[in-house]
Amino acid sequence: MSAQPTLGIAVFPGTNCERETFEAFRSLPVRLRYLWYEDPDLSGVDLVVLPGGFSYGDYLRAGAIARISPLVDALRVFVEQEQGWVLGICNGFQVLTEAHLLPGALIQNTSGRFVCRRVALRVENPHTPLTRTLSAGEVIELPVAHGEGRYVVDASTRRKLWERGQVLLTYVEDINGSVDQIAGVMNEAGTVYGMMPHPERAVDPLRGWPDGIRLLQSWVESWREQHVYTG
Amino acid sequence: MKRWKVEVEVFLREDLLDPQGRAIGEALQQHGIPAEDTRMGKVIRFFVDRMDTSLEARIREMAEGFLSNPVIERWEVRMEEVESR
Repeated sequence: MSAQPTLGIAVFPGTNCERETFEAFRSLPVRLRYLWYEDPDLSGVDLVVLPGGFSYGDYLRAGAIARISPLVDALRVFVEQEQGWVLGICNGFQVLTEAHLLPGALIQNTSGRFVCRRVALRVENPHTPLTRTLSAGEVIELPVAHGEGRYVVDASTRRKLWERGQVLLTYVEDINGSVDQIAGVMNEAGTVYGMMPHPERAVDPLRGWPDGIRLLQSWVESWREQHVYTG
Repeated sequence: MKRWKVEVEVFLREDLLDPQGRAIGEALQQHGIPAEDTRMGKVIRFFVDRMDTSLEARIREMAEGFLSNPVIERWEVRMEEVESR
């Protein structure tokens, strides 16, 4: 039995948020390691984060080439066998939808522009490991930085997402044309999470902007509470 | 020597707004072309030195599951025997 859960941060060619993601989790009770895209060994890993960036230069479609990498093949087994939880941030969310580990897809913003700013987000489901320290309807602020953040999903899945509480966060204002202004979702089992905003960029209390760390902390603490650790 | 040219054409589904297609269409209109419903797709082209039913099936599988994303896109594949260069 280990003292702390192990959190792996996936790195693909073109990932560029792995360092700040590492730093953001450093204050939390986890052991951190990077997961190289060619190395599919997820043994001993409890939590996986797919950070932001431009894996494979967004070639073909954002997340499309990462999706056929050995690491994502291993991740599929990790999810199927319920070995642990997965969180995709921005490009990581795109990879997870491409891999069909999360429903829907993320395509070019309706404006055709890259949107890079702080946005207000409404908490839609406060009963998930990620959002449980927040309350329903509470508005938090996180930065976004994406060109392909328009969340689209077919009508029947869209209805199910809402019925099953799989919608985590919505944008208060329409910033990219997403269906129902959806900013983050989870899978039906509640083991895979994806969001376009960057919680790892809102973790510094000195800058008075702790909303991101609240999400990450609650995610890690929820895992710890459901599993026994000695530390 | 002959070989096969394979082209997989991928377009965003018609019911999804295509901002690139829209911008291109508007530019065409400004230059005297009454372009309507302009869409921008992509073509992935490659050559193979043989073709049989199992390879064709595999190509179609990759077109459906990798070269396109069926949640948002539609694809077509064209195969043609051509002279090797």
